[in-house]
Amino acid sequence: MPPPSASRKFMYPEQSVPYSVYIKQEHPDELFAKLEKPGKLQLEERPTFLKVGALATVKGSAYMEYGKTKVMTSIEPPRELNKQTKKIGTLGLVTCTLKYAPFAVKDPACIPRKETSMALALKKALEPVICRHEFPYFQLEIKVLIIDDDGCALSTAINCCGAALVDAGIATYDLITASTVCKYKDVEFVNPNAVIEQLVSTITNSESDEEHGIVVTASLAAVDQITECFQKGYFKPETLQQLTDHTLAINERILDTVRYVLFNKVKTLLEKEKEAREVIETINAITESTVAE
Amino acid sequence: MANISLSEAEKTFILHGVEEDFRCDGRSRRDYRPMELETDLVSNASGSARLRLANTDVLVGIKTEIDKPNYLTPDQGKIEFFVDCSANAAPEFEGRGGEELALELADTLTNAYESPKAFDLKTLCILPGQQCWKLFVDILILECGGNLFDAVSLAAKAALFNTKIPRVTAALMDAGEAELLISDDPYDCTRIQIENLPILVTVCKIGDSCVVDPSAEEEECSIASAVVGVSKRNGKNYISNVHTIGEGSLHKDTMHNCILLGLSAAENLNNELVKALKLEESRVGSKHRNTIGFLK
Repeated sequence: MPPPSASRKFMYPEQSVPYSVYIKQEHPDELFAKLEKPGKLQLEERPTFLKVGALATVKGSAYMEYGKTKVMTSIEPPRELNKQTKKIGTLGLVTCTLKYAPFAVKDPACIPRKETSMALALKKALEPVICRHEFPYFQLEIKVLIIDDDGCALSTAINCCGAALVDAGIATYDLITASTVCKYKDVEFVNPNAVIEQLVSTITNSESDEEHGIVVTASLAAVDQITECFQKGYFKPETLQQLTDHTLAINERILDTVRYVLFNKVKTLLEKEKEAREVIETINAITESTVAE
Repeated sequence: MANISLSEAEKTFILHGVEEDFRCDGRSRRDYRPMELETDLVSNASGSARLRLANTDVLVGIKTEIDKPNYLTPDQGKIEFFVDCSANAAPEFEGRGGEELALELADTLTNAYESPKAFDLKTLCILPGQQCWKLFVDILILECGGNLFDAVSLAAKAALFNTKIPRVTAALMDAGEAELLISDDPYDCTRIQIENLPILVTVCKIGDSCVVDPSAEEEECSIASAVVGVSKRNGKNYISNVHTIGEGSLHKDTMHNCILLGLSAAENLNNELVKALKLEESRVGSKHRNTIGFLK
């Protein structure tokens, strides 16, 4: 029984199938053999583009490209809650909505499930970082749009939200960063792309002893805390700890990027302000001198 | 989860108890509350189980239906989890109130069962690309007394153990479409292998220590917990799903300790569950018995 909302969101006719089904399917093992495998484990982020304040119409926004993954976030200013709402407490409420563009993934059938589960994970990752006691009886709405998903969608969304929160002027305890690591057939993939993410969930030999799975960790570097750790697959406990450590190392690299972008944003803002002040001062000086005459 | 209000003094009392390794109900930090498990009590479902963990009451019914396999995975069956938080369990579940929790529970179970090593969907395939079994795992939460994740996963595993899938005796090919013949003997059926099925353990951080099986009051005192999905395979324990719940965050080392505690708790729990299920089956067997109502 699909959730009633699923059929409404998914606009394609139920009977149609993508033509790629009729193309000769590659066996996962062959696909894996063809994949470019990382020679040495490099705990680095992908080439990243981040723009804060990308939208003029909302209070805070950010646009992030993480490799080919493209995410847009917008944050509305906190809104007062209806007095009848039962959820009222002394802490502000955070709601996250996450939408996939219909063309963001190859197989649009998986979108409804991804949207709900990622929105939940996003909320859990962001709640601890926001100073919620600063806006009791208010609700903060965070909207995320995934424009293109080439792996690491959840971690990119978290990174993007972290930057957008700062842009919106919402008080946070720290800057939040997140990253994704996969393991498949004893090879570790840092920042996996969509092909690898798809591959990880399939396994050819279910009798063997090998591990497979994906780990997403969101962390706060300054206070040394993990706000969200999400894993699925099949791991030994030691592997999980090792992969979590790797994600934390990448998180610190991403933090540098985000910090740099935010720093530049503030710098340009201050410069603009200074220029404006100088202009006003010169105008004042001119008017004063003319008045004196 | 269930919103109960506690005063600061009550919270401190619980916190101190956890620190002393002597909780309000006399348990240590690694102990579970007593459980009651019954299977095969819903006559219209292929398999069912009801688990009562102290005050938490969960009823699981499993329906088996025939469906067309997904075009991406033609040789796999399907399983779907659906959780319903009944308004009987807690007044705030009324209307759409329980929807978020229900989604989270269903999503966690789906993630934990996703690995082919935890649950092999290939066993549910009838004719590759044509027909497969689809299992609907419907979970009803009747009462909410804390630790829903563990209760739900245990009940789901018990219900899957109890599930009887009718045997397909023949398939007739009619103009390229397969027509199945199902055995008309209701006792002629296949069972689901449950050895590898994962169970979830919630490890709750209260103060500086971690506890398993938190009661509703203890859940109120904690700001962060980790849910660990543990699946046993060839005598070794593997992690099939981890995620954090609650509004707080955890330190890296705490997180690791939580996972280790969850693993050891899950191992015992899993053994006990399998033992209990086998015991029930050997006592009752496949005999037709009079189901006694569970609402005493």
